[in-house]
Amino acid sequence: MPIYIAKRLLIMVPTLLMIMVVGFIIMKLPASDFVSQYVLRQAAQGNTGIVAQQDMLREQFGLNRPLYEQFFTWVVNFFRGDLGISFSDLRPVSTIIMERLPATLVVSAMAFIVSWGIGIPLGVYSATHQYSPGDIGLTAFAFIGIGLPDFLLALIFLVFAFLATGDVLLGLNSMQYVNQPFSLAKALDFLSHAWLSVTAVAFTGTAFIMRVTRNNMLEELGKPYVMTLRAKGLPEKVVIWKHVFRNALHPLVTLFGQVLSFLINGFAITSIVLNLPTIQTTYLQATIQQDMYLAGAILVLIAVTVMVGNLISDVMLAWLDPRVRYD
Amino acid sequence: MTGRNMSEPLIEIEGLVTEFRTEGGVVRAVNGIDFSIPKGGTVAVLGESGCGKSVTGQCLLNLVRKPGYIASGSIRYHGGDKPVDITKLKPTSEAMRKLRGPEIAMIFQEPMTSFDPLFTVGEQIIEMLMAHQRFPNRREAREHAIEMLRKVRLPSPEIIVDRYPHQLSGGMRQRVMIALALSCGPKLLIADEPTTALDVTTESQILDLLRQLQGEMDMAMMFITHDLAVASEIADEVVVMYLGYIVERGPVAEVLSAPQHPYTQALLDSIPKLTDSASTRLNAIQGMVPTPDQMPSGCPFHTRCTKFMAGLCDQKLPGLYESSAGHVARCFLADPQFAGAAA
Ligand SMILES: Nc1ncnc2c1ncn2[C@@H]1O[C@H](COP(=O)(O)OP(=O)(O)OP(=O)(O)O)[C@@H](O)[C@H]1O
Ligand SMILES: [Mg+2]
Repeated sequence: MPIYIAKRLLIMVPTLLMIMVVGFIIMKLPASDFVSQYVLRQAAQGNTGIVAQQDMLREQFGLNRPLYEQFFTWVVNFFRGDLGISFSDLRPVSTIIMERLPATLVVSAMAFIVSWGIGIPLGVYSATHQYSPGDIGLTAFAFIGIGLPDFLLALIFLVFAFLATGDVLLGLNSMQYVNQPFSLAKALDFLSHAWLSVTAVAFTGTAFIMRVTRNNMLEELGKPYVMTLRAKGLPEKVVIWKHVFRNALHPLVTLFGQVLSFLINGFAITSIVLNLPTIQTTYLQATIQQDMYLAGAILVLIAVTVMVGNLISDVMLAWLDPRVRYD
Repeated sequence: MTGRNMSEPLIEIEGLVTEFRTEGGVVRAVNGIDFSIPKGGTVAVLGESGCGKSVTGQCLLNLVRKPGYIASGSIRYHGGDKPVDITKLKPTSEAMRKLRGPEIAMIFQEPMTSFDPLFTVGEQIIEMLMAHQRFPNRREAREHAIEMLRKVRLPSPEIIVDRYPHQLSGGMRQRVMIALALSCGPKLLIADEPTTALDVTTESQILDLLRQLQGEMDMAMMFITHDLAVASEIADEVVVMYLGYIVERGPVAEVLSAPQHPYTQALLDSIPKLTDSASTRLNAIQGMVPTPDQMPSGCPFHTRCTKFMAGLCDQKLPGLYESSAGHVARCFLADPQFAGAAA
């Protein structure tokens, strides 16, 4: 097992390099670059003098050097721990990411805990009470949850919260706390804002996890071994939780592999719609502006979480299911 | 099992009807059957695929799955302190749970899929022992599980006990299944085609084993099979089913030597005999078994019967007529009055 994990970790290095190559090429595909976009924006605001500084800016950012040189400098520095600077705000990429990460993780982790913590028990209930009024109600809830995109739900909540309290719950903190150091008051203010996006995202997530759980449970409940378990005179609770649920976990564990990347990349659209200071909004802006070191670093971060997440879910599957073999 | 007082029943099934709610309407898988199993005796339930043998077995444990349910009838069990009607118990009730395992146990038809793949076979026996408080701790339960595995003659039971189901062959799994079913010392064992999935050599070993353990443990058995030879080997009494009905029932020697129902006769005829020359064709029963949702009117077998009498068999369901003590058949030809009238 440790050898297997070591192998998988080792394979991640070339995989990551491939991702960096592809990501770099895609960022370089457009005819424009960060500087040309920047100059256009400035010119539109009447600052025509900037046009003359184009080449100087390019030189400063290293954008005038040959592509392969730019790429290798980026990769080499990257693996040394220097992620480069953001063109748009001239601070180190690592500083920006560290600034955005905590809020992102808190909001996503809360949404994750709620959707799995509620979705799984409801799914089991639904499956063990198939076609009961409770199951039918939950099924209706699930269709709404899955059918309505989370950002739309967030908007609906936003409107209702505004009608009820007069507050516009955009962002994750009220104006007076933005850019303030951490304090209890700020944390409470954070929660009073975050519930909206968390609930919206968790609503969809709960509905999804519930349906997956229900389907798996129903499939397992129909298998012959369940009758053997009951024929043994085991209490129904043991039949369901010790055996059927454990068997039904298989697809959930596979899904769990995606959770890590969800934590970082989970609800981009909601973030943008609600203007949340999460890493997703940064990622989108950086990509649009061709702020390539910032966008590249976030891309790598997402890639790493996907790979590590898959590894974790594979290890969990092997632990869960004696039939799973790895070499 | 001769010499036993056959009149002392362990379980009595009366007018049992089991239905399935399907999209095409309600399907009767078991259609008002009556029979009883004496203490320590063996009853074989015979019939073609789909005639309701497994469903009958599941009824005795109140295990019929949705969309199936016991619609009417009674199953009186006399193994406990006082008789209890199993059909009156809730399938998930504590009283029903306590009957499953220590009183009535079942060996399932499919040794391949009848175990939870995620647990060792030992754990699957131990949890049953613990659920019925057979042992004060898991260590002793484990000892007993190993003992049971030895009893069904599995090689190196102390190793097998820690094996997962997928690591065992079909024959081994069937032996584990038997060990599991017998581990709480049931008074009635329902064996649902325990050898159908196995090769002939393994089959006869398993049959011998079952017979021997039955003697040792003084246990009654309901043996489900579609194989007449197996039934004649193991049973005291046979029940022949067709489309959810009992068509013939009686002591094994009589039913096999003097079958009264055309269906039983046809079944016996369809067995290849060693004396047959290679050129004789097997006498397969003509036609296909109708499915229970296209239940024929009158006698359920009339669509395939060689002695079909128009205007009678397709109009009226024959009763069960007794030809000799305890030997009955559901056929007008077995009705003494009818025979008398026809003559
Ligand atoms: N889940 C179900 N839904 C609908 N009908 C069912 C269901 N299970 C069983 N039946 C009906 O019950 C009938 C009897 O099934 P059963 O499994 O008892 O047959 P069997 O005699 O054991 O056959 P086999 O020899 O193939 O095991 C079937 O023909 C089918 O019509
Ligand atoms: Mg069957």
